[in-house]
This record gives sequence, C-alpha cells and structure tokens, in this order.
Amino acid sequence: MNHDGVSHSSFDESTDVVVMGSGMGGLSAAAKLAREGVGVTLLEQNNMPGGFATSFRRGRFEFEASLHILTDYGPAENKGFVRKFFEDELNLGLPMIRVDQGYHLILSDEEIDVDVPFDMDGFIDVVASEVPGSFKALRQYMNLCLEIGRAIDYIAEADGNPDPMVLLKNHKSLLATAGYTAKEVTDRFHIPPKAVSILGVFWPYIGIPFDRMSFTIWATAINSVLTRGCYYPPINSFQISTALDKKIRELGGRTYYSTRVEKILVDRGKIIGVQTNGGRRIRADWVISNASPTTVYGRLIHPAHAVPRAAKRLTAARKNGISLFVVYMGLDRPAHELGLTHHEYYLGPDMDTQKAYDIGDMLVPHIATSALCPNHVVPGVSPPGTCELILNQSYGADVWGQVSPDDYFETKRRFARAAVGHVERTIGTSLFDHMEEIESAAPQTFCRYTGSHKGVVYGYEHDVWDSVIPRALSLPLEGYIKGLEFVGGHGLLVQGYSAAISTGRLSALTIMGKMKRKSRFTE
Amino acid sequence: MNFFEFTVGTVGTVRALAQRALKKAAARPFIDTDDPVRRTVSILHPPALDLVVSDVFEHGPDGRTFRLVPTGGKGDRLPPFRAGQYLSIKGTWGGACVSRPYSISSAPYEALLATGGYYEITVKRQSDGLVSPHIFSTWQKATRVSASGPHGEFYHEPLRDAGDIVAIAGGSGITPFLSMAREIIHGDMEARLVILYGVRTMDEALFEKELIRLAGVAPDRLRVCYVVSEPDGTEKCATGFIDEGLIKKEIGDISDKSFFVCGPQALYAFFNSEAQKLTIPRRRIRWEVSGPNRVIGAHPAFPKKATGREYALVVYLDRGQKTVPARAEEPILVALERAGIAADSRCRSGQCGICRAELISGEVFIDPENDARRRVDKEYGFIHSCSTYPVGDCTIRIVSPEVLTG
Ligand SMILES: Cc1cc2nc3c(=O)[nH]c(=O)nc-3n(C[C@H](O)[C@H](O)[C@H](O)COP(=O)(O)OP(=O)(O)OC[C@H]3O[C@@H](n4cnc5c(N)ncnc54)[C@H](O)[C@@H]3O)c2cc1C
Ligand code: FES
Repeated sequence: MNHDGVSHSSFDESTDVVVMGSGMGGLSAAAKLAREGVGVTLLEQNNMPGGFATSFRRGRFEFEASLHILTDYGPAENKGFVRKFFEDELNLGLPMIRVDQGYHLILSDEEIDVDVPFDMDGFIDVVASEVPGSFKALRQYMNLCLEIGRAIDYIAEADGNPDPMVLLKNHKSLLATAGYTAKEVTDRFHIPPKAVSILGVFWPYIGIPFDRMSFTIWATAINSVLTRGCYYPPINSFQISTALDKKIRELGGRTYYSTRVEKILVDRGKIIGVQTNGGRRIRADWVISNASPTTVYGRLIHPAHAVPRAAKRLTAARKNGISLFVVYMGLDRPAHELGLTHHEYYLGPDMDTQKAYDIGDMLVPHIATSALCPNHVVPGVSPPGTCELILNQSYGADVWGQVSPDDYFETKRRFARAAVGHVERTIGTSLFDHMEEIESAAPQTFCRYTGSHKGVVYGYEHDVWDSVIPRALSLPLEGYIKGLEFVGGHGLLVQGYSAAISTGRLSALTIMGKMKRKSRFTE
Repeated sequence: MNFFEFTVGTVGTVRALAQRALKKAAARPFIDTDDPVRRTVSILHPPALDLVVSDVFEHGPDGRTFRLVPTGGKGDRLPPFRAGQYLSIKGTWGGACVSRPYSISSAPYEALLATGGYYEITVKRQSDGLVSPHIFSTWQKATRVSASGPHGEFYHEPLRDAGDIVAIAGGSGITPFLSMAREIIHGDMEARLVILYGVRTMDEALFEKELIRLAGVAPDRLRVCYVVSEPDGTEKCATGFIDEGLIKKEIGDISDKSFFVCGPQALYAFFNSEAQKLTIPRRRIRWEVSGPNRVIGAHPAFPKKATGREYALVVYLDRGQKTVPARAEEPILVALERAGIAADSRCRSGQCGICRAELISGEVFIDPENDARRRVDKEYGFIHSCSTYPVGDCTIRIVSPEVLTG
C-alpha cells in the first residue's frame, strides 16, 4: 500500500494506455495508439461505441443522432487531416460522400433568404450578389480566415508541436488576431451588415456571441467548411464509430463496453490506473479522457486531493459550452413533396447572436433553428416515399437542469411543438400532418448516452481567453497529473467531429512522445 | 524556446485575459460538479430498479396483477413513464438468467402518487412458458423483483398521433390500454379512447369490471367494445373478429384516428390485412413489439435443414470465451440465457437493440419481421441476438459487462 491506500499490486489487468470513452476523440486516440503498436484498452460506459456519433431507430426510420457535415476531410487531391488519418494511417476503408448543397439561410426580419454554398469562391459570389459592394471587403476577410486555417493546419500537421519560427514567419496573422473577438476583427473589415449576417450561418458551430467568441475559432470554423468542402459517411456517423471500433480490435487493442470508469487512480501526481464500475482495476501509466476536465477533476480522480489546485482553478474558470435540443422527425412523404428542397436550413429572425444566446439561456422555446433534411445527401436514409427532418436549437448548459423529472416529457413536447411549428411557418411546409415518427433529445438525453456533464455538447466556450492559442498554452496545465490527457469537445479546437478526431490523434502522439522520452531516461 | 513559451511571449493580450479569468475563478477554485441534468437522468432512467411486491390481485385462474413498489419505501420514487410502456423483469430461474417484458397496467399518475407510487404489471400464465409459471408460483407479497426502468415506444404522442385512439387489443394485450384508460379518466392524458378488445370467451377478458367502471365515469372519453370469437350465445357484445366490418360499424369514420395494436402475434397479421382494406395510413397505426416469433421454424424463409437441430455457439466475452449449445428454433439470446450468461435484453422483439452482438462467423436466420437493426449493424455484421436464430455453428462476441456476468 502506498500512502493513498492504492495498492500497486492489486490490479486485475494492465495496459499501456487506458482510453476512457469512445466518442470520436477516444476512438481516434485508441486507433492511433493501436496502429503504432501501443497497448491500449478502451472503456466505454454505453453498450456500443460512438458517444454522440450514433444513430437510433424509431419505427421504420433510423435517425442520425448528431452529424450534419464532416469537415477537414477533403477531396483525394487536397486531403484534409481527417482523410489523411482515416485513409493513409488507419486504412479504415470508409469512403465518404461529398455534400454538394450548402445552407439555405432564412432570416425573416432581415429579409434574407439565400442559398450559400460550401466553397469559398461560391460563397463570396453569392454574398456579393446579395449585398452589392461587399465583394472586396469580404474577399480580404476570407483571405484572413484562410491564413488562420493554414496556420491551424500547420499546427495539426506538426502533430501539435509546431516550430515557433515557422509560425512567426509564415503564420503571423494567427498570432496577431488571437487576442481578439470575432466581432473586433470582423468590424475592422467594414463588411456591410447584411453580408455579416449571412456569414453568421456558421454561428451555430460555435454558439457564443460574436463579441465574446475567439476570432481564431471563428475563422477556423469558416475555413473548415469552405475550403475543403463537406463530407458525410455513406450511412451515418455510427459507421465511423463502428469502423474505428473494429479497427482498434483488429490492431490488437482491447475494447470493453458497458464498462464505466469510476475512479482514475493517482499516486504521487502520476496516473497508475483506473477502476471500473464492476470494481476491476486496470493498471496503466496513461489515461486519455474523452470525458471533460469538469468530470475528471471534479469526480473521478482518486484520491480527490490529488487534483492540483491549478487544474481546479482552470476548470472552475472555464464556462461550459452549449447543449442542444434536437427534434427528429420521420415524415410520410418524400422531401420534394413537402417542399423541403435543401439539405440544411438555418432559420431565425435575424443574426443577433447575443439575442440568440440570451434566449438560449432561458427555458423558453428558441427561435433560431437549424433544420437538416438528410435525404438530399444520403441515399436510402429513409424508406422510399418518406423523408426525415432534424431540428437543432442551442441552449445554455444550465437551462434544462431546471426541468423537474415529472415535467420532463411534457417540457420536451412543448419545445418540440414550438420548434416544428416555427419551421412549418418559416419554410412554408406541412410537418404535423405527415408526422410518422417524432423523437426529441434534450441535454438529459445527451447526458444519458454520453455521460457528458450537464448534457453539454460543445465542450467549453471558446472565449478569447480560452480558445486555441490559450488552450495550447494551458496544455501543460492539464498535464498537472502526469499521464493524463484530454480529447474531444473540450480540447484544443472547435467542437465537432473533425476537431475531436484531431485531438484524439494528437493525444496519442503526445503520449507516444512522452513514452519515448521516458524510456530514454530509464535506459 | 518551445511553442508555449513563444506564444506566451507573443500573445500578451490573451495571456492577460486568461489570467484575469483565472484570477476571478481563484476566488472559488472549486469545480462545480453539481449536475441537475444528471440527477434527472438518474431518476428517469435508472440502470435497474429494485422493487417489491406490495399487493397481488387475481383475475381468474390464469391472470394476476402484481403491484410493485420501490424497496426503499415511500421515500423512494419511481421513474415517471408514459402509458403503454413496459418493464423488463429480470431473474434467475433454474440456472437461467432471463428477462421478460411486461406492460405496465397501472397509470402514470399512480407511479407518482405522493402517498407512495407504484407500478402494476398483469401477468397471464402461459402453461408451457418458463417465466410466467414461475411468477405465479413464487411471487407473493414482499417478494423482491428486479426490473429495468420503463421502456418502449408504444405510447400516445400528441405531436404525432390523433387525439382519437382506437385500441386493437387481444388477450393480455389489454394491459397498456388499461394504463391509458386510467390516465385519460384521471385527466392526465388528453385523448379519447375506444378499445376493441378481442377475446375468445368473456372469461378470458381481463379487467372487465374496471374498464366498465372507468367508461362509466366519462363515456365521451372512453368506450370499450368486446369482440368474442368463440361465443356461447349469452354474450351481449359483438362476436367474431376485429375485422373491417366491425371497425366500420364501431368506429365509423376512420380518418384522423390513431390505431394502437397490442396482443398475440396472430392478431398482428390479421389486423394488418384489415387495415389495408380500410386504407388506414401507415402513420396512423402503432404496433407494440410482439415478442419472439413462437413458431420461427414455420417461417417460409427459415432454412428447412435447421429444423429441430442444435448447434455449437462460441461466445466471446470481454474476458475469455464459452461454447454453449444453441437450438436452431430458439433465439441466440435464449441459448445465452440457458447457459447462464447474463446478456442484457429488454424488448425481446428485435427492436430496442440492447442485445446487439457481433456475428464473427457462422450462418444465422434473422426474423425479417423482427429485424430493426440499424443500417450500419447490417453492413458490419452485428445482430440482435433476440431475433436471430443459429442455423449452423456460430461464433459471436457479446458485450459482457463485469457487473452483469459477475
Ligand atoms: C412489450 C411486451 C409487453 C408484454 N406485456 C405483457 C403483459 O402485460 N402481460 C403478459 O402476461 N404478458 C406480456 N408480454 C408477454 C411476456 O413478456 C411473456 O412473453 C409471457 O409472460 C410468456 O413468458 P413465459 O416465459 O412464461 O413463456 P415463454 O416465453 O413462451 O417461455 C418459453 C420460452 O422460454 C425459453 N426457455 C425455455 N426453457 C428455458 C431455460 N431453461 N432457460 C432459458 N430460457 C428457456 C424458450 O425460448 C421458450 O420458447 C409482453 C410481451 C412484450 C414483448
Ligand atoms: S432485446 Fe431488444 S432488440 Fe433484442
């Protein structure tokens, strides 16, 4: 026994790295480690892989739980890091479909009703024709976003360990803008307000007001969507989860499902293993957590006093990102008959991001809604003669916690009714009359299936002080417990699939780097 | 100089901002783990329920209702549910770890009573069955029962379903409708319900008095119509089957009514053809999951060579493996249960996916009427073990949590 009461000999099995959670971050980390021959054991509380990257059935419909578009994948001749990872490193055998249609944006109070494509030149052309005189400023602005994108690509390609001189020489704009909000930087370009509103179509990816949002993350989001196009798996996101899960085992990794990590065992500031809900102890020097620092530092580290004060301080200072309310509908008519002409809609009164955010912080039905009709992109997503429509609204992390268990079903129903009615009116279609299936997911649903704290979907908010660059700065802070790494939505980059995949892969590389260094010392 | 030192030097603004935020947090450097969302989830969807029988009510020789309350007594609360949902009852009977779904026959409001909530399930004894005879012979007041939380999609959803519900019930399939009837009469469910209850003889009808009483309270919201298929001439109700003619006569205009169907498997096929004659739109019919096909060997697509055969089933668990015998005409799930392997199950009808397993090799027959697998599972060789039958030696891998396999 050591002084914390954890016996080093009382382990049931051992591995090099425990990956806790099988979201995109955890799966990517485990796959990368297994690929490199590192012993990895993946533990997931749910009975199957994926976290948010999953699907579910209702009647004869199957619904994608979360994925709208996969960014940073890219065409064969201009591969993004996701594609390089999946194809070249993992040989995952998972061809993706390119999403050709962009967004249909309707902002009723601003009289904006426009189709915006998922490519840079097309986007600028559309905005320029909608808002005469905006072309030049917008082009300059987009060039800046492109530069930020290239800088982020460079950091990713340098496997998280970029050469400062290269950054300084080639990616000055990243450093120059990192201290500013999206609003501050955007204002300098004097882009006509209507054009800025159209740009706001990317707002839901970040979900916090422009005047708090880090410009870095904003530019990264715009750049990801517009430069390499958007992709989607041939079936749905659960295909990515399943392919990665199978790959991990094929490469010699172990996967345990319906197994929850209850304790992360720490001795003298170092990870020594984990304990599961079944009481099994797995010995490991490294833990990669797909769960948030809030959960890990707040509940899982054992003994609790092993959490360094600085880690507590940082975690306490961060603000939980938003969660979502999602309505999934199976409709008994084809999309075109219902006038659902687009893959994805963004519907709101205007692009007042502060207002939208404030409404999302109250327990009232939201007005800003995105609506996804996957039939335009994924063949066979629903039975012939039918279509699906999936609505998303964002809510603050503390909103749905106000709903008591006894009111929960009724509240979900009330919000769903409002959301569907709003979309019916805005698009001018008929949904209630064709409703064959309807299900809604609230933060409670996400918490249930992914264990996320308060059902948060978007990690921590990307305030200027807590975005890519400062997170890169605070990485050593998170390393306060030796052997502990974080991946997923609360990681370095913008939340979302490609970011989680990238953080997973990077964390594997980081650990392998440290392992090498350690073995050099002990040799 | 590494990247971090470099950026610390360069991005002074960010650093200052971060320090300000951290300083503010330093005043209360504790991590707020309080999570009301998680608390709600643990009330709504507990991983398992420990219940105890508080009362038993007889309905003739072969029907019994068990009132189940939390073991913790009145302070303990039950998860809310929606009328029409079921509990999966778990137990070990004769060395087998099995589950059986039973619809909750009590009303949702009764689960939440401040004076002590309860669920009731009503079990019909199946003389050739496994679990129902055991329940009849062993459950009495104070018997401990383990169950899942409430599950299932067979409930009235006002955003989707019509306000007028037509229940097509057969045998013990009345139970979810009793729950709905009680909730409607109590005023907690906004719908009108007409129950067409098909029974062989009136003796078989469950809850006759209770249903008449409820319908008497509010005839505009609840009506019950018995349909006896083997009449002895004394009945005052309809006779025959719940067919097109009877539905037209009892229901009249079928437009804007939602049909909910629950009962024995034969009823499903029968009503399906009647519904087509009546041209009821698909979205207006909700089917309760029907349990495993009891005569899968008679399915036209079932491979004849497998009839009566038994095969070797190799089961990869998280740790180790087992080889167990598996009968061709029983779901793979039953082979696991017979072997005492506690694989999770819930609906036993191929719908919920909790029994998902990976088919590594071997030939299986998947009941096409009970195949609700997701597209990815079909593509990547996953099965639902409750609706999959071995028709050759097979190897599967199941999720085998330590807490279950023990
Ligand atoms: C959603 C749903 C709701 C339901 N609600 C109700 C309800 O409200 N009331 C009600 O009465 N019924 C209800 N049922 C039916 C109920 O779940 C049971 O199927 C029924 O009680 C019969 O169970 P049984 O075990 O007695 O019989 P069976 O399930 O027919 O038992 C025989 C079967 O047990 C298996 N078996 C035999 N020996 C063994 C062994 N040694 N080890 C393991 N397995 C073995 C074999 O597969 C055999 O086919 C519902 C079913 C569903 C799907
Ligand atoms: S138990 Fe529900 S699908 Fe098998």
